[in-house]
Amino acid sequence: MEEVQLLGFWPSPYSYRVIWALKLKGVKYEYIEEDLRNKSDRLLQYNPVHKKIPVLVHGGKPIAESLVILEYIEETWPQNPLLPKDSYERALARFWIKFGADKGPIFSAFFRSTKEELDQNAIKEIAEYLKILEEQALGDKKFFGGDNIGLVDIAYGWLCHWFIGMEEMGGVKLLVPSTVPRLHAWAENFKQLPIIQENLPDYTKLLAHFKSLREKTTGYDAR
Amino acid sequence: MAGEVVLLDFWSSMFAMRVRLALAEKGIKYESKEQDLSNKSPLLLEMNPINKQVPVLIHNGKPVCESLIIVQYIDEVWNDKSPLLPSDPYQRAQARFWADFVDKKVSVAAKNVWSTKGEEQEAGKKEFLETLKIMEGELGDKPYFGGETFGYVDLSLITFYSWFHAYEVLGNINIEAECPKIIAWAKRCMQKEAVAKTLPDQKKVYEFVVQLRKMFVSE
Repeated sequence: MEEVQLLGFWPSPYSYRVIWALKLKGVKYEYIEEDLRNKSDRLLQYNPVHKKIPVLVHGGKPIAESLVILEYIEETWPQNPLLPKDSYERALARFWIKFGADKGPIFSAFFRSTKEELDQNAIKEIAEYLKILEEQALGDKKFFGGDNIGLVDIAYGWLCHWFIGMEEMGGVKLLVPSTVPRLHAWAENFKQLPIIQENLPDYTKLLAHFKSLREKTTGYDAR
Repeated sequence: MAGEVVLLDFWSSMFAMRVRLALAEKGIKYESKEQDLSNKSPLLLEMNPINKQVPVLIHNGKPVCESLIIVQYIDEVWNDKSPLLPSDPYQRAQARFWADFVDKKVSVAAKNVWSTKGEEQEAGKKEFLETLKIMEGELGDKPYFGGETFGYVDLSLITFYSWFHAYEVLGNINIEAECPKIIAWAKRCMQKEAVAKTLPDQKKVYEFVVQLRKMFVSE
């Protein structure tokens, strides 16, 4: 069995996507914490193009970009499948994963929104986005993957912890039962799964990290 | 595997071209329905309500959206000939990484070359050429990004070649001088019948982009 290493950064939701997938598949790996303010030679060697985490290294060969890593994990360790078998259903799953990936800017804006200066446009866009997720992607299913979680759930998993932190900082709650009851229930169910519950960064530490990020002009580099 | 294949299309969209190219590589018969993007059809809005964009592949009445997702779908369903993605998981991951790079970096910078002016355009031009140089590094001495044969990464990038003349004139850049290997690779791809037939004429695209630019830039 070839060695697996994960280069990550403790507050990054992108790192956790990979951790969850590896844990769900029962893959043993070595976690290596990277300091993104002082990038190691190892990181620059393994991801020269983007210089970001997460990077999965399997048998010495690196793979970068969290969503690319997730597909690689799914193909390399087929136990406990996280994507549907049917090609059409897989295309739908990939569509929803991409939908989440493309919405980065509105969440960045929300992150910068403060109680004193609410970014109403970002708030409106996120509310709409959450509604689309609930009505079109989740529907009446327990998880995006159906009865069990899959890659789509993993891709949106950050909403149940990191986004909650952003809501607390910004003083605006959007993932709430009054507007998106099914999505709210999904977030609760997802977070309560043992594999997720046991693999989340400490919430208080995360909030402190968010606060220090907001004080700087640039965020951390992760994808 | 067979069954009705319809493509909601737009002649100059490099994303729709990717799908046309994949269908051509696989020899799949389909009906192309050219869309009016300034006056979107009920069919387009029904089949892609989220993004309201082309391309959309409709297979046996069911829509698939997003060009690279459609290409992967085509590769999986019509898996009897001309594979687009490699079979080895690590090679597949590399292919996905580079196609993602085209979408995240090359495509975004390219748009800034024709849709902006002044400092923003200068920055866009610099970034665009840098991203092409990075792709040249990845290509190395291989004939194609896929190695000996045309593959997924080649397909994801070659469609932008039809816009190169537009970038050069509107951006006042010389892509061949800056990235000769990319141009050599593109010309090699254009020798393939499927590519030559799929990509529209660069002059026609240029005229289209000149008009499109007016919507973004006041000059």
